[in-house]
Amino acid sequence: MNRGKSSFDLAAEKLEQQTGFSQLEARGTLRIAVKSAGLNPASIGLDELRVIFEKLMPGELEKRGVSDIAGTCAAVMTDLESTPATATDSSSITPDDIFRRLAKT
Amino acid sequence: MGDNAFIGGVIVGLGYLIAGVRLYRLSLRTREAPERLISASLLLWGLSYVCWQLPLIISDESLFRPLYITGRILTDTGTIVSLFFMRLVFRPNSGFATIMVTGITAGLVIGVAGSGWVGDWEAIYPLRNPWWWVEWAAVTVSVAWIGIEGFHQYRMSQLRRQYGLSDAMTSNRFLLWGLTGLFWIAYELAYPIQQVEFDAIGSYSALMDAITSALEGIPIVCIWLVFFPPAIYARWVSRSDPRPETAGG
Repeated sequence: MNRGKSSFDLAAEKLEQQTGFSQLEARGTLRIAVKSAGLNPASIGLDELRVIFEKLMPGELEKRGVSDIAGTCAAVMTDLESTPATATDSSSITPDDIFRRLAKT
Repeated sequence: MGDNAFIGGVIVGLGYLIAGVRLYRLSLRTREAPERLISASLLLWGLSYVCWQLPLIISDESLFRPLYITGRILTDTGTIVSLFFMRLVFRPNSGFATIMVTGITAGLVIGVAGSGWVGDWEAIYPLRNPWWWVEWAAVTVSVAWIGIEGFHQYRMSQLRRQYGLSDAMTSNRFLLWGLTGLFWIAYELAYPIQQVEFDAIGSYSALMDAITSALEGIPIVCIWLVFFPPAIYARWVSRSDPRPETAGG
């Protein structure tokens, strides 16, 4: 059941499964990467997670001694993209979206 | 105050009113709450300027008291609406934002009620009316939130830009939002000096009039650049964005 879980929660779960991290480690590692990209874990979408796992997560996983970094990141993204709750969840309304819309008078 | 002291206020008031009308028209198309809230807030602030400037323009002293009181209530209502905009846009599920909205609204209501209780409904006697300072503190905290939130969002959007998750124009809007708050803070710090001066000597000095007018005017310029940036400004800001790839290019 994915009802009530955010994209961040699901991504952290997938990361936990793929790396063997504890729940705390997985969520903490993901949170660091998300914050480093200037994003809010509460409103992150699939598009943003894709960028996180392509550009930021490899560095974070290397620091934590994960061996197959590229394979882990790809597996997490494949899992996420095949999860119905996140497959369409790339449209969280962010301050960026609202400010762009407000300038379209 | 000089005979034409109202001109600056009229220009600022028109700036708020026109911005409010344009955003209200946008809200009719999008039917979204942020558009409704920000347009309502700007319209209320614009109308408050009408209330303050009208007695000066038509030189009717009998209108001062009722219109000053109305203008003050419109300003405070606009401030409360702007707080709901801030909460909805930047911190929709945040307990902190709820505390800010509740606390500042309480401060405004207590300030107005207290001022009325001591007979200063127009809020022009800070030396005799301690409640004046409660209302002033509430407004100052609200504009401080706008400024700090704007700069925080700007910093975050600069990080997002490094990964192609934001663009220069959006980032610039947050910077301008922060600057709007910053100049409102500066205005709120200058305003008590002007008002204490009035309470003490019964008139506004040209120097404080000039300072507060400038500090009122700059934020409306920032607001216009946030919501209605001229094409030349948008091109200048966006010059650092990567150009989209074109077919055959």
